[in-house]
Amino acid sequence: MTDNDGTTSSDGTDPVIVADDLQLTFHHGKQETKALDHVSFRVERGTTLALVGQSGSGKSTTARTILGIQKPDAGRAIVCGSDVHDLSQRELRLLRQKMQVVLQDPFGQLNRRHTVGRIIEGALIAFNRGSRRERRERVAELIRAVGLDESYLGRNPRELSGGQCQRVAIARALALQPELVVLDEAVSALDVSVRAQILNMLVQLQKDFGLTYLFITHDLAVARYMAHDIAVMHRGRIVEHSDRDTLFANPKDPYTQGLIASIPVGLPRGAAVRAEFDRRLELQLEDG
Amino acid sequence: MTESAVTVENLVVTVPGATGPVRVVDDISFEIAAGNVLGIVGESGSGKSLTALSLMRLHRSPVRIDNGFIRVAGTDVRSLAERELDAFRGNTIAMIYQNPMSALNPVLTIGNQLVEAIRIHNKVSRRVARNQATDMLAEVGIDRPADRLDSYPFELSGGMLQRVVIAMAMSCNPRVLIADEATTALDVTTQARVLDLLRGLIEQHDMAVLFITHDLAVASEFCDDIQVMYSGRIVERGTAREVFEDPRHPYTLGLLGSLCTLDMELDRPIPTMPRDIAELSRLAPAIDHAALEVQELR
Repeated sequence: MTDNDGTTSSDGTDPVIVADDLQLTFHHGKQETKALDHVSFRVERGTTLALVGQSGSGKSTTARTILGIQKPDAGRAIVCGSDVHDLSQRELRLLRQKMQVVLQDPFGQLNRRHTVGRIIEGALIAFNRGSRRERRERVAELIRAVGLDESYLGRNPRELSGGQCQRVAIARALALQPELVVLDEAVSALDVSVRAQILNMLVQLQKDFGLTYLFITHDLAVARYMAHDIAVMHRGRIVEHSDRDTLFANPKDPYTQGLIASIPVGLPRGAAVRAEFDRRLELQLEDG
Repeated sequence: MTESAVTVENLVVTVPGATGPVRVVDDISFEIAAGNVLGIVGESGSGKSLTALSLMRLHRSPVRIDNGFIRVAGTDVRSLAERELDAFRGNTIAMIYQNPMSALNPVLTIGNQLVEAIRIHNKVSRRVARNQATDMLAEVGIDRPADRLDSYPFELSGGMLQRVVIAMAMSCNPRVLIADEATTALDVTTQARVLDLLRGLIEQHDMAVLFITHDLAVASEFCDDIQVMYSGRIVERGTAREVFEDPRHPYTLGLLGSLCTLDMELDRPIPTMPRDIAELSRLAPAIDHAALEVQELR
């Protein structure tokens, strides 16, 4: 990995996240668990870093530390130039406009007592963005950006499918024009066909808005598709971190090798299937 | 002639809708031979779990079996009386679910629960049942099984718990096992080990297995035969090889196309399901690869 001491962009890079030697130990009675064991990485603006690993590997704890929800024992988490854990509550709250999160559970993360419109607008109200009318316009813009239409704004999350809920959660995350979006298993609970749509949308939104993603997943195939760089976590440590081509072509760490080897690869795709995919892809591209 | 361990004919399951009953499982038929694994793949709401529940008659009102014939290991399931169901479930057919915690009582030790399960179905002493339980835990690959009997569910990992649940399901040596997303919640390495375990048990006990999953990669590796379900119907069936290498139905093609795999092409959108898939699916004939073979031979 590269050096981790800089928060400035003197080397021509523009990191949105700098995690610098994060350490955290959880104590349960006499037992100790190293949740974060010298975790360091950077994520450059407009790129995606995937954190992959199994349950308990420290992926979500890393995200929580970056978001300022979990304080590390040592080390720094720097987002958009600010040390997240060295800010006052007020400053942290302001920084939260720049970093948003989308979670796994499509239904659990939306307030069921509110309409979709109110859920998205909530982020704007919390930070006093715009007049009532401006907010309404922005909400309409956002719901269209995530591929739904304005008829959804009056609905309740209970009336939506998992994929639609996840689109709403993404719209809410984008409301404040963040620089960083943390996606914590954000597509894991979705059906295959819905997941494909959401992933395509996330890629497009990243291009359109120059977003930086911290993409947490246990699914290596999804990580490979989404991320520029991939960090593999195991027992609180990043055991391997490289660009995606290198990671899959030449995994160095035995744990990474094991992880890749344990993925069922039994889906041989014949020529006919490939041809059909290409045909549908072309139709899709024509559709815009 | 050998009889299939599971025979389902013209099964219809309905729920009440605004304009009359809605067929959530819509006239499906299939068979599973002993020692075989039939995978049902499909997305949420396709009817795969309701099909599985039908085999055990576990539906709760207002979901009901409206029509069809179900035979499991020689038993006509729909004709069983309520009091006969308890013996049938467990002895003849067992089921494991996605979340092992939902099958276990959090305030009882593993041993208590296994012993109880054994003694409900077999008239044996506690001591004998406890010895059996130890053997069962050993059979599902749990270290120090005798010690583990005294553990509570919260003391074990997800993979271990799923092994315990498998042990419990196997306790009465059922002829048929239903695994409903049984490895979905597990990490990939754990999943691989639990699938290996299941594979061994299936061969050893010559069980027929209905394996329900939305994970196509797992299905393709684990199942002998595959049925693809979409909106209550079986749209395609064949051996795992036939269905995954030579899919014919538009829904199957859409499903396989939208899957993220390690060999997929990058830097272009993932092909998604055609927007009019409901319409396309309804119009396209269901594909049975076995029937295709016959036609091609003629």
